[in-house]
Amino acid sequence: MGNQLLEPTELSLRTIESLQLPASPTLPHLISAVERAYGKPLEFDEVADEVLADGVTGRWVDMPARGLIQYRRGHAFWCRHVILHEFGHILLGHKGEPADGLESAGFFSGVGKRRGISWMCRPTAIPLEEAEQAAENLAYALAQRLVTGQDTCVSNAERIFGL
Amino acid sequence: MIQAAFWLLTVVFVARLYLVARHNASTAFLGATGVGVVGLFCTGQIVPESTLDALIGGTNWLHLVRNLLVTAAVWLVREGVFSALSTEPETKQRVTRRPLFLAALLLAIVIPFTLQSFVPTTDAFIPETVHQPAVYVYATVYMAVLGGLGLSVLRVSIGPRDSRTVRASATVVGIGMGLMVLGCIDEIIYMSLRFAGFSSSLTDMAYLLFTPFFYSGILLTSLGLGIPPMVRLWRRLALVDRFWILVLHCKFPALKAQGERFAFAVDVLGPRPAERLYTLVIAIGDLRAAGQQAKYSPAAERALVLAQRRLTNTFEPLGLELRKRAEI
Ligand SMILES: [Zn+2]
Repeated sequence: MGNQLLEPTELSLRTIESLQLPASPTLPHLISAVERAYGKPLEFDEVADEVLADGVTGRWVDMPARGLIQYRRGHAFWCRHVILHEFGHILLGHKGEPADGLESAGFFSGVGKRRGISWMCRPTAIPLEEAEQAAENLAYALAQRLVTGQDTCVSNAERIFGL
Repeated sequence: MIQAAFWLLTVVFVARLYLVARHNASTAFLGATGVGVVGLFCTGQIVPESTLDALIGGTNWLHLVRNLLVTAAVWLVREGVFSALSTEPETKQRVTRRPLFLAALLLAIVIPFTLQSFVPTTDAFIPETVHQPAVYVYATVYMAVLGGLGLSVLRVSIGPRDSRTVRASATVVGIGMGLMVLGCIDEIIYMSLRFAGFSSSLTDMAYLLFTPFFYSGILLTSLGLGIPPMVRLWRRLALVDRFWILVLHCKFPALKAQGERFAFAVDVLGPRPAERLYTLVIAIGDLRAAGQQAKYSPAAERALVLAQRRLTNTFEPLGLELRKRAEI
């Protein structure tokens, strides 16, 4: 992938605005905000490489009473981004595809009800289809709030002092 | 020390001029550094005092001009610090923050000065003329005014702040002002002893202590005002981020195969390096997940870990963080 910076889209910015995050949000802040927007609790699960299809880095499984985010094992920092991508799908109200791929992994043996379960993935191949692109854009915008944009908000005192 | 303070303040003034022009920073600090530069210029360290004083009559008016400039500069520092840091709402309308108050202070210094019997330019103006009541009152009022202003800055500037840079800047300014206050007290003691006719080793010591106290105070204040522009420049350059971008590009040549031909130079030198570094780290993770390069060299792994640490603002394991929720 060429290192072209992703400019946050209008949609991404509006979505983040609606989360009403504090000035310097942490990941727990963000999870709380996403759960509030989603209306269900979220669970996270690090999974081994073979659980996810090739080229898939993570997925969100939407179930009637909760949401599950699985992410491929890797460096914590990168896993965080995979999770942010799935947050992107949740916050943008994406519906996902029927969970056909999940049965083979034996994952839903305990759930018993396939109806209402869907999933979205984060494929590594570029170009991404529209929903993937929107989720990835939102993921970068969220990362900016969490990580790289920390010193861009300037308080009154900082402005006066010349920061 | 006075020369060091002068040149430091000149650099800070230029940096602040840029910040005001480009980023709407405080004009109070700009004014303070500008007036301070002119004030320090009048100390005779850069151009001999006699040369400058000759231009305005050759009877020590330079002494007054310099002291008025220093008073105005300290008042402006105080103005900036108060508007940035003071939390009490009523301080906004405090009488002492009106320009008219500054004018009154300056007048209180000017009036006794004009009542002296003038002598030709001397670089030991105070020791030679402090026996005159007018000069004693003039210099004591000046030192008291400066000490009072410095003390009020000191009280506001020390304390916890949200921003580390503001805290560092304000603390250094506060300490500088504290030293300046000590210099003022020392000078008042010295002048009072001399005025009362004492001349002993104590007066000599008090005389010698003034310059180290007072000008180290000015030096620290200048330094403190220079901290935000320096931090800003450092952030702007983002050399650490750029360094890691460079390292990652070298250690992960697979990136090049996927990117445009000029991505390397653009990445290292382009704007928003922190975001570029982030994008790069994620792209490397994606490469691995895609199975294109399952295992990197230990050196590359290490570089990747360190680059991530540069971007991470939490040191908690991800698994632990994912179990936490925070009030919003
Ligand atoms: Zn996706």
